[in-house]
Amino acid sequence: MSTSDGGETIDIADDVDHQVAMVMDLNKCIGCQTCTIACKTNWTDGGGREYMYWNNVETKPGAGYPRDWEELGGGWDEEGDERTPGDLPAQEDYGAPWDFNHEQIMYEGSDEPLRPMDNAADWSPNWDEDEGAGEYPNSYYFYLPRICNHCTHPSCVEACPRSALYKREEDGIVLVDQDRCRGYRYCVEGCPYKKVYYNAMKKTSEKCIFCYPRIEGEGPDGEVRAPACAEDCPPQLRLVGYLDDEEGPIHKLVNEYEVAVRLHPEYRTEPNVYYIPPFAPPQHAADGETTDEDRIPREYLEELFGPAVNDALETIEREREKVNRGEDSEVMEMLTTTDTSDQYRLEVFDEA
Amino acid sequence: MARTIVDEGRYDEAHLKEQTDMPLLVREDTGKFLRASEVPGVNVNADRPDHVFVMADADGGLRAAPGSLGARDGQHDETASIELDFDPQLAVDRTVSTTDGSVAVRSVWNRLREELATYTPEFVNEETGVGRETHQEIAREFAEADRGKIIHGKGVNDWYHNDLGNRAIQLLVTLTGHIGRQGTGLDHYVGQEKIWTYEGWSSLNAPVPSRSVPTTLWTYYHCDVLDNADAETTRRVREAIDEDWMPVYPAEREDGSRPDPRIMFIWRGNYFNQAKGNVAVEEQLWPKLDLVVDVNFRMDSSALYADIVLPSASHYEKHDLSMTDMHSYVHPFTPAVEPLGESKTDWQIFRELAAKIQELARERDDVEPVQDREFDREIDLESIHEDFVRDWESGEEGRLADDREACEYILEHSAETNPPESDEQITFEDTVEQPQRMRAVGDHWTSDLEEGEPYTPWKRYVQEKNPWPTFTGRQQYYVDHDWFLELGEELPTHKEPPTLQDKAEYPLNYNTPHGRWSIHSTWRDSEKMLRLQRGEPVVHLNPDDMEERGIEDGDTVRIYNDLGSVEVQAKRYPSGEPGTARMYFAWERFQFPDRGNFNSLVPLYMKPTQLVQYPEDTGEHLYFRPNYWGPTGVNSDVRVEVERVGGEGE
Repeated sequence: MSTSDGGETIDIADDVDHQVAMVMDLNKCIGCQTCTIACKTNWTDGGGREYMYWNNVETKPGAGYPRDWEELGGGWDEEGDERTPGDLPAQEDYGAPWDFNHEQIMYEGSDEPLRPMDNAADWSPNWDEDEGAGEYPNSYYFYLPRICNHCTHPSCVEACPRSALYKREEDGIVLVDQDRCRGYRYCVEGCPYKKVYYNAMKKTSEKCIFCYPRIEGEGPDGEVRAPACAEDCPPQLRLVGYLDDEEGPIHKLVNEYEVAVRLHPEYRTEPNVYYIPPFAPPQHAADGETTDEDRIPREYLEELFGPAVNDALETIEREREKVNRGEDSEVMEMLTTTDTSDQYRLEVFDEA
Repeated sequence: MARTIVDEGRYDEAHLKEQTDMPLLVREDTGKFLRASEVPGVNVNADRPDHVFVMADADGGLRAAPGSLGARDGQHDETASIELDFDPQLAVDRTVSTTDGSVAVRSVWNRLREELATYTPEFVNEETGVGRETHQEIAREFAEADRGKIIHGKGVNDWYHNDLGNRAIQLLVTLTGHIGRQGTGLDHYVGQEKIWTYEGWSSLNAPVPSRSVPTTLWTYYHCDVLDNADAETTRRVREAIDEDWMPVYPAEREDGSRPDPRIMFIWRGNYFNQAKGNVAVEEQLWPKLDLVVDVNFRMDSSALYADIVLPSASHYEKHDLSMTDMHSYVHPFTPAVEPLGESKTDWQIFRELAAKIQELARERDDVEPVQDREFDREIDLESIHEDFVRDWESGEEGRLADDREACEYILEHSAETNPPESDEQITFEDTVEQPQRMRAVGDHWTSDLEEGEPYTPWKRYVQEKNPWPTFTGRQQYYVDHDWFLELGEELPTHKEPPTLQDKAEYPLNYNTPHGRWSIHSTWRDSEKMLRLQRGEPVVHLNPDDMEERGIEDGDTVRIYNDLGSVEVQAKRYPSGEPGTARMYFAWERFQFPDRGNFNSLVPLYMKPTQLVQYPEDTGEHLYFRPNYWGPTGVNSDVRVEVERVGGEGE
């Protein structure tokens, strides 16, 4: 826990100096998967990681990746003291990293259609893309990009009997010490978001590293860069920085305005990835008129983001109206800035 | 929406009077604009009074409309003005004494009001499903906004009556005067179509006259669709070609014959996959071709069906320039890596082809220069490479041997990057340092470029009051071309789509919108991307339509109509309108069993109104120019049926 000058407290883990955090504005996500591909080409393109998507984007409502991960348990009990048991996802629920018969078609004269080989295609990380729920014309869906939440109270860390998982002291990034890991997969079971993956080739578990080499300034010219999923995002829906940077937009959106909320807060791992909840156009009546009815049922959003989503939506609505009236709104400014020095504040705690 | 805006008086009257054809008078007997030459006593100072239009002033006097084509020097004439020194009347219904006697006339405005009266809230609701109040509410909000802008994508263009759709949408910004100021207008986002450095590009690309064709018409013609089309379409297409409104190559010979195309070079496209009327392309056009060469950085369907593939460098392996009409900056491409394997940059591929031709021609030593049949120029194969690399402007030999120098040439010869009467010049090096905002605009733009402001078109007409580059010199909604009159399309109007397939037999609408998993067909077969989909082509179906046909998500289904049949996977899509089969486009032929594709179900059809020249004789308003005026390919208005494959009993 760190205390700000104003006496206000910002919850971060006891044993870390600072805590990296991200805010994702779901109203901007177009489901293009550029973040997914950016992450994959950087980190999980081979070596037993082919099936892994440290960053994935799933359609909600939907089964997600791995399939039905929300039903697999993990996290903490109501008091936050005891871990809740979790299950390992079955390999087929991740979907197989299909190989295709390009070679046969392009160069060996095959007349077969291009297909995943070995009849492997019956599920994939994005199989139910765009399906959602509801009925035309009032159907609904939105996209949910997910990475490791680098939780303040991570159940994966607690689950490891070898203490291979840890929160980095300097910034709270959750990492797997590859030398200590023996591949028991308790972390995979223990993470309720199913964001730790087992590498069967290396026999260790692996996960999102918040692109720490990038934020440490390992770019080609020694520059600091935000994680690839954030910087490569075409609509620039992610803000990246430190939760305890009181001048930054993340602290303001999360703690001050409370418009950025956690995914499944009831898992009690205290994620450091926050979401601006999605709005959708209202429903149409049978006669084609626009109504006042929410298209995305509020109960569904509460199910995902907890009761805090209600205040968040109302505050955003109010702030939008302010802008429509021509007034200033710090919230809307933070959410629509195109200034990368506001979007990505990763050097604020660097020693001068 | 236009009806609401007009009926409720929410239109910008001053804008309509000054900037549009609404006050112009139209003869009731012919449907043609009343011309100044037909009205004795109209004071007109013009070379071509038959190309000058007439308005009525506040006292009922007849006046020549300023800015008419007949009173200006060609399509663009900055010395002319549409500024008014009288008050033209919008609502006119009267008779005029003409050289043909007394003639009834009405203003375009009155005709438009009559047209709009059709679109009652009930009618709109019936046709579109949009609520009676909802669409009017949007119309009011748009009209009352201080600045209004409409942004639309390419969807409208997929339909046969896309010209009517676009004219109707544009009408909204005209009626409300949301045009020619920052934050207003109609933005139609369809790819990278307007080339900022057009002058430099065309000087590099075509230093001597060149042959461009509308691809849709070319494909249509050489797929022999005219042999099968209805009599009226056939007549119109032939007339457009015979009148030279639209070019088709190879050119007609003196004996009236027209040879088949023999050689096809495909460059920067996947023609064999993406052409509408895919079945006809394969069955009619492909057999005519002796040689198909594909310059490509992917093994796509065209490459698979080509005789020769010349592997080319991708975007990140070469020097090139990038510009788009969506912003006003020029970006460079620079090679991050050298071209892979045997691949070369496109510039080098064409240059080396020229070098080889020159070498062979010189070896033979008997190749006489060929006189171009159409243009005043000679093609000398013995110097064709030297011609290729020569800087045609300065005469410097060998200057354009490499790609980067070709980029430099474009920057050098364009007003946007090297403004005349100024020392400011953007070099390629500057763009590498950082993307550069254009410094100025050339004559092919319609507004100036202002510091700190996004480019907004039409200011020269709206603010500076230059005549619009139309027949009437105004935003023109009434087109008195014979074909438009014959087809009842002189004003924007609503028409039912043409029925190409029997509705009872093929109950589902079939459309093939742009997907977000590829850039057209590029990356459509990328393993990385396919792993985030289903690995094979899918059709999106509404659950009700699936249930009716016993189809479940993941089933293999056959989509068919009278043109073809393809097998794909069914995907449940509750957001799809019932009665619609949607296959996001650009799947490669080799992704389908039997090598059909999404275009196998799409016929080749074209709307004749898009083949015209206007005015018919001189064409200053509408004339063929790539990406500006010509027929679009149409791929919606297609009907299909879908059935489960391998169901019980099969």
